[in-house]
Amino acid sequence: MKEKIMEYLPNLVRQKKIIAHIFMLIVLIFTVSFATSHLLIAYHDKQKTESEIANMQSFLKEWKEKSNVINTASMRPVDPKQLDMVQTEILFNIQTNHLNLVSLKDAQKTNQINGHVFAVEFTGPYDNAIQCLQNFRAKDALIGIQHLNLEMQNGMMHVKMSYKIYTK
Amino acid sequence: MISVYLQPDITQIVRGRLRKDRTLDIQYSGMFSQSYLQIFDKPSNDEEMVDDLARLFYDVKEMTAVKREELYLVLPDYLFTMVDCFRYENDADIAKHIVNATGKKIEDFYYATPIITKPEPVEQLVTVCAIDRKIVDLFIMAADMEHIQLNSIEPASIAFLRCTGKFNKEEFVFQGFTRQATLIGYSSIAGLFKMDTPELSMENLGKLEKEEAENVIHKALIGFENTALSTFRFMNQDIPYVQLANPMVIQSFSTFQERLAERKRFPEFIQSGDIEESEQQDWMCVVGTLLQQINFSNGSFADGIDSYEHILSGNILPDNVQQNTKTYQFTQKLIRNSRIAIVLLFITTLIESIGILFLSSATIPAGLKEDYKVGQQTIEDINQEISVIQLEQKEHEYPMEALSSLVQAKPAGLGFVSLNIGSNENKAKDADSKWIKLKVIAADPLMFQDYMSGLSGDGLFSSVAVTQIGSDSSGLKTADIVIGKGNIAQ
Repeated sequence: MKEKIMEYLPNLVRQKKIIAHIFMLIVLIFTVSFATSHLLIAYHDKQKTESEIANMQSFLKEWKEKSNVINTASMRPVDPKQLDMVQTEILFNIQTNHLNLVSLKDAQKTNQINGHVFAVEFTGPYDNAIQCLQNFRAKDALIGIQHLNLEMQNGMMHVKMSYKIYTK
Repeated sequence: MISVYLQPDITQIVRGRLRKDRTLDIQYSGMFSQSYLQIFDKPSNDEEMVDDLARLFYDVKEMTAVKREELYLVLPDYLFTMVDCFRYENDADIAKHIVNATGKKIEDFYYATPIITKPEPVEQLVTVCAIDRKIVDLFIMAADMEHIQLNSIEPASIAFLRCTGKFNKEEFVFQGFTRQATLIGYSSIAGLFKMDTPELSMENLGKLEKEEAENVIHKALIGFENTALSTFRFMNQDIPYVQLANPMVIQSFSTFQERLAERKRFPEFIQSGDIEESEQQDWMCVVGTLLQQINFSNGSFADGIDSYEHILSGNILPDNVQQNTKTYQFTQKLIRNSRIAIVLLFITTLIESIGILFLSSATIPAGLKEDYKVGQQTIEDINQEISVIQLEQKEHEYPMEALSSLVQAKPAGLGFVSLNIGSNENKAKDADSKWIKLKVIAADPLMFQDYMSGLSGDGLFSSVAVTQIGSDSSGLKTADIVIGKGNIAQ
C-alpha cells in the first residue's frame, strides 16, 4: 500500500479535491479523537456524580431514620447547663409528695460519662414515696435510676437511691 | 466497468462488475444501430475525426447515464495492422517482426502481446497485435475531450477468446461485416493470428453469383487454413468456424453452413444479465474485454488452459495513458473511501457530541446538596445523642417495673422489710444475677415458697433464690431473697 501511495503521490498532490478530502479527514479524525476523550471524561464524571448522589441519598436516609429515633424518644439527654434545672424539678417532686429530704449529694465518679450521678435520701409515708418514685422525672430529661434501696423504719418508708441525669 | 465494441455496422455496450470471487456480473447491455468507424474509411483532418469519435463517448455517457467511468474499447481485428503469432527470443524480436511484416517504423505502432506460449522447452511463441498509432491517439484525444478514462483498447479476437474461458483448443473465427471481413485462427500451441479477407464481406459476396461466391468463400477458407497449418505446424482438419457475422449471410452460403460451429455460450463465471442464451455468442467480444484482470492460469480456471500458455491483456494503449487511468482509478477509489470515512466520522462526531451533552447534564440536585450539607452538620450530634440513649438503656435498673412485679406477686400475710434494686458498683460481674435483694417477713415460712413460685413465673426475673431464713425479735420469720435480671423488654 505504501509503495502504491508513493507511486501515485506526485499525481495526487496536484489534485485539490484529494487534498481537500485528506484535510477534512485529518480534521474529522482529530475532532473524533477529541470528542471521544471528552465523551469518556463525561461518562466517568456521570458515574462519579451518580455514585455521589447514591451516597448522599443513602446518608440522608440513615440521617432521617436516626432523626426519627431522636424525635420520637420521650426522654432525651439534656444540655449540661440544664442540670440545675432538672435537679430543681426532682426536688420539687419530693416536696410535692410531702416527703422528708434527708440528703442529696453529688455521687459522680471519674468513670461516669455522658451524664452526672446524684444520690438522694428521703423518708415519708409508703404511698407518698411510691408516688414520688413513679413520677421520678423532669419533663423530658433522660434520667436513669441506677440503684434503689427501700426500707420501712418506724412505719415510714426510707428511700435511698442514686440516679444519673444524661447529658449531650 | 463499461465496455464498447465498435463494429462497422453497430456498436455494442455492456456494463458489468467483476466481483471479488472472480465472477463477472453483467448489469446492462445495449446497442446502437450506428457505427463510429466510418471515419476510418474516409480519413479527414484530425480535428474532425476527434469530434466524430467524441460523439461516440458522448452517446455512451447518455446511454449508460454515467458521467465519469472507465471505458474498455474493443475494435474489430481488421483495424489492426497485425494480429500474428511467431517464435521469438526477446522483445527486440517482436519489434523486428512488426517492422519486417509491415515495412513501417516501429514508432508508427502501438502493440501488445496478449498470448505467450512455450510448448517446447527451447521454443517460445508470442501473439502480437499492432495497430496504427494514429487510430489510438484519436480515441485518446476524443475520450479526453469527453472526460472519459480509457482503460483498454483490445482487438475483438482476444476479447472473444477470453470470454470462452477455454484456451486448450483450436478455433477458427469469422468476423464478417458489410465491407470488411477477417478470419482468425487460434491454437493453444502457437497463439492467435488473423487474415483480412475483404472478399468475404457482405457487400462483395452480394455482388457475385451464388456459385461464384461459394468458390470465393471456399478459396478464402483453403488459403486461411493453409496459412494456419504453416503457422501452427500442427492442426486438426475441418475445424468449424465460429461465425461472428450477419446470420443472413451465413444462411445464404452452403460453404459457411457446412463449417458452422455450434453457437457459444458464456461460461459459468459470467452472470449473463438480460442477454439471452441464444445471443450470448454475439456479445462475447464486448464482454470478454472486461475479464482482463482474471488470471486464467490460476485457481478454478486452470482446467481450461495448458500450463505452458499465458493469456495476458491485449491492451494496446500506451503506458502513460494506462498509468493515468490507474492513477484515476486509484484517485476515485481514494475519494470514494474517504467520502465514506468522512460521513462515518461526521456521524460519529455527532453521536459523541449528543452523548457528551447527555452525560454532562447529570448533576447533583440543589435540594439534595442542601439537605446533605445540613445532615453533615447535624449527624455527629444525632449519633452522640443516640449513643447516650443507648447507654441509658444499658445502665437503667428499671426499679419501678421491678417493684410493680414484686408487689403484684406478693401474697397476703407477707410483708417487705427491705428492698435493694441495682448496685452502686456498675462494673460488678454478678450485677445482673443479684439485681434485687429483698428481705421479707411472714408468720408462716411456707408463704416464702409461694412467693418465690409466683416470682419465678415472671419473665422479668431470671432467677429467684432464698439466701437466708431467720426470725426477728417478735418471732416472725424473715427471708433474704436474691433475684436475677430477666427480660426487661417484656
